[in-house]
Amino acid sequence: MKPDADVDVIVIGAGPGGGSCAWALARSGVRVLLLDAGPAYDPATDYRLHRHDWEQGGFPDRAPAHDSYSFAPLQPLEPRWDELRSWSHIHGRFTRGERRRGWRYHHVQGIGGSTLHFSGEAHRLHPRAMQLQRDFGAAADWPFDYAGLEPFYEQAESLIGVTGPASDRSRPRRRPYPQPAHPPSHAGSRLLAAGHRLGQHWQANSLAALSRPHAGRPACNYCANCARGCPRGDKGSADVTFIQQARASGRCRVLPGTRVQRLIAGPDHRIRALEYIDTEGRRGRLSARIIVLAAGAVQTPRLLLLSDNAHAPTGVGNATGQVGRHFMETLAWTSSALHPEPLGSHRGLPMDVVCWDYNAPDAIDGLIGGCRFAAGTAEADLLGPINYARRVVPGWGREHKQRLRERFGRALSVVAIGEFLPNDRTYIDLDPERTDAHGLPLARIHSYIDEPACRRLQFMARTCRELLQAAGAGAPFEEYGSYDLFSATHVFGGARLGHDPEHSVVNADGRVHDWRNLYISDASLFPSSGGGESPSLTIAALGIRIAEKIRAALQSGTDRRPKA
Amino acid sequence: MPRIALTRRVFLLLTGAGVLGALPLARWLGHRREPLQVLQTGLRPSLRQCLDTLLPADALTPAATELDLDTELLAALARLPARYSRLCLQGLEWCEQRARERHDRDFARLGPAECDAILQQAADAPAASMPARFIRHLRDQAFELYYAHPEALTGMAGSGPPQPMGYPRYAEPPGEA
Repeated sequence: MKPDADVDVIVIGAGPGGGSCAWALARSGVRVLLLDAGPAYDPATDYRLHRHDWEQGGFPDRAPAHDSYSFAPLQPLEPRWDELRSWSHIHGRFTRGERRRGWRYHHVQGIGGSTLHFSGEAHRLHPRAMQLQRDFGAAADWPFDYAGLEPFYEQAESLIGVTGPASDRSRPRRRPYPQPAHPPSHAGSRLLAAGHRLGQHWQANSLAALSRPHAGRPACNYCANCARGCPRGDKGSADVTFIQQARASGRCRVLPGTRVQRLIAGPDHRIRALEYIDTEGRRGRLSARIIVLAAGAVQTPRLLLLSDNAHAPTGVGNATGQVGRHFMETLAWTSSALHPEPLGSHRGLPMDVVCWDYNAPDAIDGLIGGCRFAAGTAEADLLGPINYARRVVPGWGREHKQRLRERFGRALSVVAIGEFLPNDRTYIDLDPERTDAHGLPLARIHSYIDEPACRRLQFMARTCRELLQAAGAGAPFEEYGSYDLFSATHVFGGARLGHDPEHSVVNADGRVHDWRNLYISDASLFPSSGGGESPSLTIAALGIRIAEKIRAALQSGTDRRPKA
Repeated sequence: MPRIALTRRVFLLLTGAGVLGALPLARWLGHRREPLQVLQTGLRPSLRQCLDTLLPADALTPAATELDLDTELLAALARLPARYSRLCLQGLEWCEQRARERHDRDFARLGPAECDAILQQAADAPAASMPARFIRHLRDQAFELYYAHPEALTGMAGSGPPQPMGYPRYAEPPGEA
């Protein structure tokens, strides 16, 4: 099959990895076709934050991804870790059985991907988190260092309009943030003060939410509901930043509702075409000189494994059995309590203040792998009367109504996010029994929280409780975390970067080992998860970096040369 | 991004429906009509009584049924898997049985304190039991529907839709913003 005449590169997946790669290619003259299985959302009509029933749902997901993955049985729970069980003063334990529960991989399909529901955190990785194998014998090293990624971080931050503090001691920076930090919310100020009382250093978080108008987008008005979809466009989701700019170049076409089902591997170590099905059930094939896979750390390994044929008998890129291995989920903990004073904690930006003190790989005594803490009231979705009525105030009747009025706006939450180190019991494979609506095997998630991870979670939980107490809040009324519940948005690995094909899937350029024209640009590349950093900015920086490598390959023709 | 998101839907399923799949389907084979139909007709007064026990009128806000919450709840149940309707039906029948045992009257004819005591008995039952699951689910659903009405928000400053105004004075104490 000859490549489609008007396209140089097809990008599969329109999240931050696919979107940034498409933008960086299009701006340099490359013709791109950007596909996504989900729809294109119209913020003005699809998002509901102006309606009285705004709180009745989360992000208005029109193409839920839940029918494309399953969970393998997760681990038994142990009494010695009972303090890590998720619970609520009203509903009791979230997981009533004695085995960890696979709940959700929170993944949005659509133009913008999971940035459509992200909180807008825009973090660079801790430089030392990229060299865990060299320094600590854990995980794997990135095949390039922080300095090698920084120019691409800068490009992503500039295009998005990332805000951050004037003095950010958490990461080395060659230039200031493009926009000044948002002042902390009234509730966030309480956590800043609490952290200082505990001897911690808290600061404004770096966020993809504008503090000043930028590129035709308005400044944020602090409604706190980034996770339900930003109707204004001040949040820097991929649809209103990278993809909008890519389209404006005139060299990027975007096709929503196009679900790629398999790659067609050829005899010459090239991907000859891809097969797709659209929302009307129409099937077709597309081809281009180069294919970029950017479907996320669950669906990217799935698509590689689904694409087995005579030329890729164990799946594309899986000659050494590495596809799906080294998968990492999110280690997270959230504690919520009531403050005696009105805080108006439903206002402001999510995660507006952050503590990086424990983020370095050796920052927690006796453990490898860091974590960080942040204001988490919006993350806990304690933003409106429905959640207060259901989760904060026990009981019912007139007294419940009165207490609800008194307590609204007083919830204070602290969230902790920690490093997840890869282990042999955490990986993605194809479900041998369950299939999607088109008869294709689901991606099956295996995940195991090992002893060091439990100890890291224990540190995170205890510190969250200390922070609430130092802030003057009462005892927690609700706590939840990763120990007994898989409920993660950030997942990593499964097609990791590396120099050695025996231990990785993709080389330092983002190209799949042994395949001349197949690249990956999403979180499945991560050799390590970082110590609690949100990954979208790193994914975008990787996408821009990979676009440079692709452009070079297109110019030099290396994608067409026979394999040496 | 929410790393471990606890959205309304997640919470509903975590707390209310996670064990609903264990409902003995055979018990429902005896019902000649679908559970939702029974709820819409024969048990409608019981449902209204339950909702007004959870959400009675007070000086600032109306009772649940003044906002036609029973109709909304039935519409919501129609959109959910049938096991939710079955649980609701089963729970209301349980309330009726308790009402007849204790007071020899229909649940819908009981006074507020009597209704409250029966719902409290359900809430105090073992967490995995049907009455406990019923009241958890009904409470969550009722609050979700009720507090989507602007009439329910009187006296609760700043609890309305967050857009289009946002909270530009978010850095100040709420009383001053």
